[in-house]
Amino acid sequence: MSLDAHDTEGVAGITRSLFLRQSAGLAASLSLASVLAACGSSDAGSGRTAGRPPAKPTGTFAFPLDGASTTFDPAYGNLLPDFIVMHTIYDRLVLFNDAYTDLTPSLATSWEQSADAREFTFHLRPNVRFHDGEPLDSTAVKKTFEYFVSATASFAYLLMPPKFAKLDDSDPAVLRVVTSIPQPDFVRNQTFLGVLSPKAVAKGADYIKQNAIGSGAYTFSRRGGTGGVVVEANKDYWGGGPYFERIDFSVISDPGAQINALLAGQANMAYRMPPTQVARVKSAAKIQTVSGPVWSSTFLPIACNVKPFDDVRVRQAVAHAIDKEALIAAVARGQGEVADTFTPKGVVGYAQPSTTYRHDPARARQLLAEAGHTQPVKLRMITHAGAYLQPQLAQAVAGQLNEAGFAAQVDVVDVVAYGRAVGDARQQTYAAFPTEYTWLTGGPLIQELNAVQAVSRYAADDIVKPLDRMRTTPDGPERDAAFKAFEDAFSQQVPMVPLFQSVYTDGLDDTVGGYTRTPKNGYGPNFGPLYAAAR
Amino acid sequence: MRRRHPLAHLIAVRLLQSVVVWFGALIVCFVLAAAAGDPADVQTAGQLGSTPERVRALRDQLGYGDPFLQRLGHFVAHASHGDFGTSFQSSQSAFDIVMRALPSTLLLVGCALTIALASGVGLALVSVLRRERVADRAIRRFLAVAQGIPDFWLATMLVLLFSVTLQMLPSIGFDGPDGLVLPTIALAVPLLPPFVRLARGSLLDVMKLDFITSLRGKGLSERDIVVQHALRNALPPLVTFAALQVGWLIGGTIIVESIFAWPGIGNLVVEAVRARDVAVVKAVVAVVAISYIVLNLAADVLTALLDPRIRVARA
Amino acid sequence: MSATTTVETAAASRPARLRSARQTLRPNRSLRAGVLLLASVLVLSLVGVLALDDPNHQVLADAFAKPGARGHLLGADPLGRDVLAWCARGVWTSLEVSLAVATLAAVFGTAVGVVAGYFGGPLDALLMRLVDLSLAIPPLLLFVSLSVVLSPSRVTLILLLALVAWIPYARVVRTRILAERERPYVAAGRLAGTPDRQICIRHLVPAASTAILVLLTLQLGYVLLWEAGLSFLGLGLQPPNVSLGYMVAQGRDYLADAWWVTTIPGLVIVTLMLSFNLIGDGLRDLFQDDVAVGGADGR
Repeated sequence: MSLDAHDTEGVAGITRSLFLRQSAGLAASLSLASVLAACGSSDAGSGRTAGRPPAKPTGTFAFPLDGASTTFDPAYGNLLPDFIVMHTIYDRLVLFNDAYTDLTPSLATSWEQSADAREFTFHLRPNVRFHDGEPLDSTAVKKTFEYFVSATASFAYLLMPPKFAKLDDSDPAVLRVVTSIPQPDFVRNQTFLGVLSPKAVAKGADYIKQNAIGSGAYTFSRRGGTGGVVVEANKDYWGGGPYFERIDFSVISDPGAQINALLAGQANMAYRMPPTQVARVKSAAKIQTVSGPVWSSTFLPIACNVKPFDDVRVRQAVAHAIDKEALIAAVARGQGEVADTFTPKGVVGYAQPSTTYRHDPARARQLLAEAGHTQPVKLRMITHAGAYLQPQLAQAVAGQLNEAGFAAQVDVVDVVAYGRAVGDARQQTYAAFPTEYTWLTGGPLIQELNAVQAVSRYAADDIVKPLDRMRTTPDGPERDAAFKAFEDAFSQQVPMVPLFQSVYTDGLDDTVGGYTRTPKNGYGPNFGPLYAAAR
Repeated sequence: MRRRHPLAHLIAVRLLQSVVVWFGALIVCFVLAAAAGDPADVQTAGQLGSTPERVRALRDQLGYGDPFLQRLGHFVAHASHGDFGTSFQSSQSAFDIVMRALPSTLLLVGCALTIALASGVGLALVSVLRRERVADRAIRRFLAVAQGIPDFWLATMLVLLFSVTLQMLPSIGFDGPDGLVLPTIALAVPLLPPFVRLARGSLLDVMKLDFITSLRGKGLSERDIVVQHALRNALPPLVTFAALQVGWLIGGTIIVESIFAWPGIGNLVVEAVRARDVAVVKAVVAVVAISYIVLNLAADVLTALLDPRIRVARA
Repeated sequence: MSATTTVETAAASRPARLRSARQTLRPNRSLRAGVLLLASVLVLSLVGVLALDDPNHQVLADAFAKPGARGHLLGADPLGRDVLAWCARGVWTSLEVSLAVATLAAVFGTAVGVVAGYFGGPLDALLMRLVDLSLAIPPLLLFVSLSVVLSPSRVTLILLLALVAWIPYARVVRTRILAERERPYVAAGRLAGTPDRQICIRHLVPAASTAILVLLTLQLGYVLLWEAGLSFLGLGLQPPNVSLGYMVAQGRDYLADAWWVTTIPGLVIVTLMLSFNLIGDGLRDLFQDDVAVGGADGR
């Protein structure tokens, strides 16, 4: 077992930062209201097999998790295994389409929002029942929203407005939401949060943690040994599928062991395989691999309050010192694309930056000299052993920095020590914290300010002002301008050096169909359409 | 003074001390675990939006918010009933989880010990019967090398050879006896050298005894003498040693269990430490500590029974 | 205390002095082989350290180079570091760490063992229960907890390993002392008014010295293993410290494509262990000392 191999402490071993933004030209966002698919389940997507789903649920799907599933509460779930399991049990109001460009109906068949992004109307799907028999109606959704807002220590809380001005459930088929401040991303955030049965909500957080009562394609069956879970087909599911009798989530924390299990036929899937092992899975018989870019990028955040990194020239020198292509080739084994922006491509909020930095050690040295440094500049980085590939990445970056006028060193510590170092805004020891940020909802969330300010300790107006505008401006040209202003300032000031956008690959039994590789990092696939054809 | 008294006294004193040591171990572990952080720390490490207030709120929500001394007192009070709290990861009694994982480790340990014992005795027999000849020297060379092999390296090499290259055996130990083979070998090989050494030494010692000479005088073949008579007398120290290894191994299978995803205590403690599942860590420590302490105690008593001089020295 | 105590006491009752000169000259194969092996490894690695590049030098373009490719005799690791250079330097790092840990552990463990064995009574009981306590705490928990609190460094690692390694010394020395203190010269010394400290340091410790030496040699290997094991778990020495265990751990993910990253440093570890064990066994034969049967690794 190696703690350095795979992450259990958070999605991809890193911080999740949620960003809110709508891409340019997404008048589509306003026309989301006009996206009225009839029955909302996605197609039996892009599975490679030419098989067809069985007539009724058959067989078991073995999906190894890399850690224990510790909670069934969509509010407090923090770790990847929790999300994956919950994705089978809960439905959401809206989902992304297979191409991940638009929202499609799920529990909500259609929705509208006002031009100032303060009023939202969701039309709910009729004849949907939760696993405990309760019907889906506007009251149920209202109760779920209220629960999330009340759970102030939870993750879901960060996705909700601090409070609602009005939640009108007078019409059981329609929920009207009014917020006091604009929530430009409110609808998009619903792709992340599940809807709970009101009876479960009434029983409180402790009950919810241990009892999964959603409306999804699978119901909770029992707990496995070491934190695993078994879920069973929901025979009365309103949407397409499910096609398995049960899904067995076992816990195999070592990704190498997961892949061995897949190759040996003991598991049907290895989710998000380490890039270092992709090659051997690709060449294996009876296995298919599905790859795709994710809404996730790896960065080198620089602590701007640690001298001499308060000088922008020194930070720019860091950016020039790094050879991103080499990093992708060596550390990520080709599973990545060079990133130059804070927001990854494909996420609402992406804008072409005004400044990019090519690998140029000579320029780096020149900048350092201009800033008055004749001796190698000390830079101490910190990362933790459980973070996926981060220790290796940090080593590689340190090596590159050392050839461009820096004296870089990496400390690999325990995750708790890491959290404390990153969270301590006053510490002066560590100047960089290589990390990966994930955009869970395909758009910006309130935390962008936190990321640049909390981790990089950067507080100047050129970045902070656009962020403020982004947060409250509804989608449209004004918001797009704010996105552009932010990315320009970000690339100019380099509070973080964007390294690369991740590409993830899953390994699957080749009998599995209906599988779409989602760019959302941290949910797992949509399990409804998943099936196994006979070989 | 009756002969029984000193021994009974010794046992009673040691028993009392053992209880104290056990509690001491638990308290030390509790303190260590407290220093290491709790699930709230793990989940919010480096996470955006995790202000100290949020971390504290999460800690309260997860149930780790009480002040340190209060938790310590609660823990000490409950540990004696075998109540170590609820596992954060699986919402079940930590003690139950540990008890469920223990048989897997015991199975692995038992198989490894059996193999080590059997091969150890076998190799020792060969070594004694073919003393100073090719086989003996080959065995001793093999042992010298085997003693230096790190168990995790051996496990990795075994996986490379038998699972990845030859595809003969599974690399994770879930279902079926197939999965038992590789982890058992990985554990047994480092055990062999001390076993063989002890068995060989013990056999040689027995061979020097008078009754062996008389058997030789009777005309029995060397092989019959060794196998049918000497062996039986040579076994006791070996068995005692093996029994002691159980306690050591239970705590020592961590790496091998991780490599093979073996659902035993070693894997459990690694996962629990990683996720800071404090209840499970405490429960594991309690179980492992008890086995050490009990076995040590038994060994001491046994020794005292056997050697009056030590008993007196200790008193 | 282990069942080997019986053996230990039996051995302790024999005077543990060197054999007569004639017997010393008898070829001790084990010792010779061990010393030869260790010397070869050290010399070769010294040559390697002097002749080869900095092992921490990453050449990303050379990542995963096969043995013999691109100037890497034994291949390169995932970040393009030369495996041969790493192993050469790693031998010396391992030696430094092992010696430091074993010495520290020996000093502390001997002190505890002497005090416990000599003074006996409640002090002895207390110290032995301390030993039990230390044994009962899983080292993994200890390492993880302390690594949260302490900053990672070579010194921290040495201290942590020494915290676990001192135990066999305490037990073995104690046994030796227990037997030794019954000897007439000790009683005579005490009657004569010799201070306890002098008796301990000038007579008892030397009496146990052969056992300590054997144990130390054997433990060098085990410390090496432990450090490698810790690196394997991600808790050991990190670059720029050059640790063999670190590279074994690095290579684990790439067993199928780049077996040399794990296998070769592993072989180096095995070789070093072999030499330490041969030397330790040889010393044990030399001193006619059965005292450390199975005790060196803390069992």
